[in-house]
This record gives sequence, structure tokens and C-alpha cells, in this order.
Amino acid sequence: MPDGPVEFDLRRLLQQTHVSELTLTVVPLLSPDQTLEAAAASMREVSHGSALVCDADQLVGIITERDLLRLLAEGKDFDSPVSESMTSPPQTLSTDDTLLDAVRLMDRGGYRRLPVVEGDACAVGIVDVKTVMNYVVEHVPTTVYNQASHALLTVRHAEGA
Amino acid sequence: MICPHCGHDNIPGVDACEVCGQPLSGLDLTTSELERAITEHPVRALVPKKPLTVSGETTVSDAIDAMVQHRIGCLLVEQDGQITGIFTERDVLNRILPDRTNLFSPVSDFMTVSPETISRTDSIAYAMHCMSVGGYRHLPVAGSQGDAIGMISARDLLRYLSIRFADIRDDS
Repeated sequence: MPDGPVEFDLRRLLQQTHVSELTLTVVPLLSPDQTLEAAAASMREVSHGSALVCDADQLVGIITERDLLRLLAEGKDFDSPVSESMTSPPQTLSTDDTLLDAVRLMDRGGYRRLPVVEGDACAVGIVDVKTVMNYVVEHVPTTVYNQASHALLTVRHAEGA
Repeated sequence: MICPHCGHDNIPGVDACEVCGQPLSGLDLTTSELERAITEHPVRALVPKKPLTVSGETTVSDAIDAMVQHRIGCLLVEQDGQITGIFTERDVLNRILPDRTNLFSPVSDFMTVSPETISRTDSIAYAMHCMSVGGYRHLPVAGSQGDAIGMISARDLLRYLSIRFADIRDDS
């Protein structure tokens, strides 16, 4: 860290940070013929709301807790294979992409999560909105962590009034 | 601007906090435009979405139908005009999918009781703080009587920051 106060520039931070520098969220990897029930169980196991679907080390889809919510409401058979209900092919990031690329894709596509692909592996994890937010928060820590609630602290009536 | 000492929301540009008298002028010198904005701007600048609310007796099944219909992952449970709980798609994943008989139980059995809320006048920096420390994806915005008036998500915050301070929509 440089000495003294430095003007914080969010665009520069996002532009200079590569996906490879982030702590990616590791998510369950499923095969296309696994059931929706298995997908849900795998998400519960890691306390995360999405899973990636790989076919012979190729990323072919993503399924999220939002999909499961909708499928439950539609009365879908959860013994059916995940390949019937996944989003395929998913929008992906590579480890060489920047955080600015990730944020742009999230903004344009309305995505909350983007799988990261690298080399021959199916996927190495995902970048989600919270990953990006936490990264930004780490870079403006004094401002964000020194916050107190307005509601708790505001003096509502002048003393003696 | 919000005084870091007592939290009072002062008129921007004042030299000292009008409630506690602490100097505010020095704050501008060391912080960036982004830091000033998130400290000075209240949550209402994010234009919080209207929350979906149901009563505690609503069945889980009806709550899920409402979430799907509104294409959202979270709703608030209100009783007598007060937020009593929050019910999210994560609760569905963890507690409803493993046992479908729960679909016919009241949503109050599965909600998170008394969720952390923020007020419209809290700073954006405070909202970021709550989400970061609590690990929440959604933060209900409560009115002065504890009623549900809005909902902000981590995505709303990221959109605000990246459009205003990273110009993500200004280039191809």
C-alpha cells in the first residue's frame, strides 16, 4: 500500500484487477444426467445457491436456486436430469478477464453469477456480485467499516428542548 | 453529509456537525469522490425497490408462487404493519425442498425472524457495511414505524457504484 491518502478510483481498480486475483467461490460440479434433487442437495452441502454442469470437462450449463424455486412452483419432477432445466450454455469469464469485464457482463446480462473457465478444466469457480462487492469494500475499508446506523445514532430531539 | 461522530445527516458542505459540533471540513480532503458519495448519500438515492410482503399465515406454497411471479428471490413478512421476518430462496433450498410437506405450512415457520433493516436515511456506505459484515444479499429498508418500504440488494449497490464511478455504460 502506498503511503498517505490516494484518490480512490473504482474504474482503475476494476480495470487493473484480473479474475485470477479474486478468491473465486467454489461451487458443486454436476454431470448432465444428475437429478434436480441431487443438484439441490449439492448446493445445500456447500451453502451456495448455484451449481455448474460439466460434460467431459466441458462446461455445458448452470443451475441456480432461482431455477429450483421456479421449477418447484411449476411442479417439475425433481427426479428429472438437470440438463433439462439448466441454462445452457452459460455466459463465462476467463481468468485473464478483468473485474471491469465481469461487472459489465453482470450489468448487461442481469447475471448475478459468472462461471470462470480456465484451460482444460470444466470450471474453476464463479464470480458473483458479492465477490465483487466484497472486493470493492476491501479497497474502501475505512469509509465502509466506520459506519454507524443513522437510526441508532441520530439525536432526534435537541436536549432540553 | 453524515457526521462520523454522531451520525447526524448534515447539509452538504457545512464545516461542523450541527448536532455534536464536531468538525466535518477535514473529511473532504482525504477521501475520494466515491467515498464522499457513499458517506453523504442516503440509501434512498439507490431508489430501493418496493418489497413484496405477505402475512405470516401465508402458506409457503403461496409465498413461493408470489416470488416466482414477481421474479424475485426474497420477500418480507409483515404483521400489524411491521416487518417480522424475511423469507428467501435460500430458505426454500435449505428447508422446503428437502421436505415438500412444508409447502403447506405458514411462511412464518420458515422465515428468518427480525431481520436486520436499514432506514432510508442511512448512508450507502452503511448499507455496504451491513451487507459485507452480515453477508446478506438483501437488506430491507424500514420506515420509522418498522414498516417495509423498500428492499436493496448487493446488485443494486454494485450497479450504483459501477455506473456512477466506473462508467461501465459509457464505453463499448
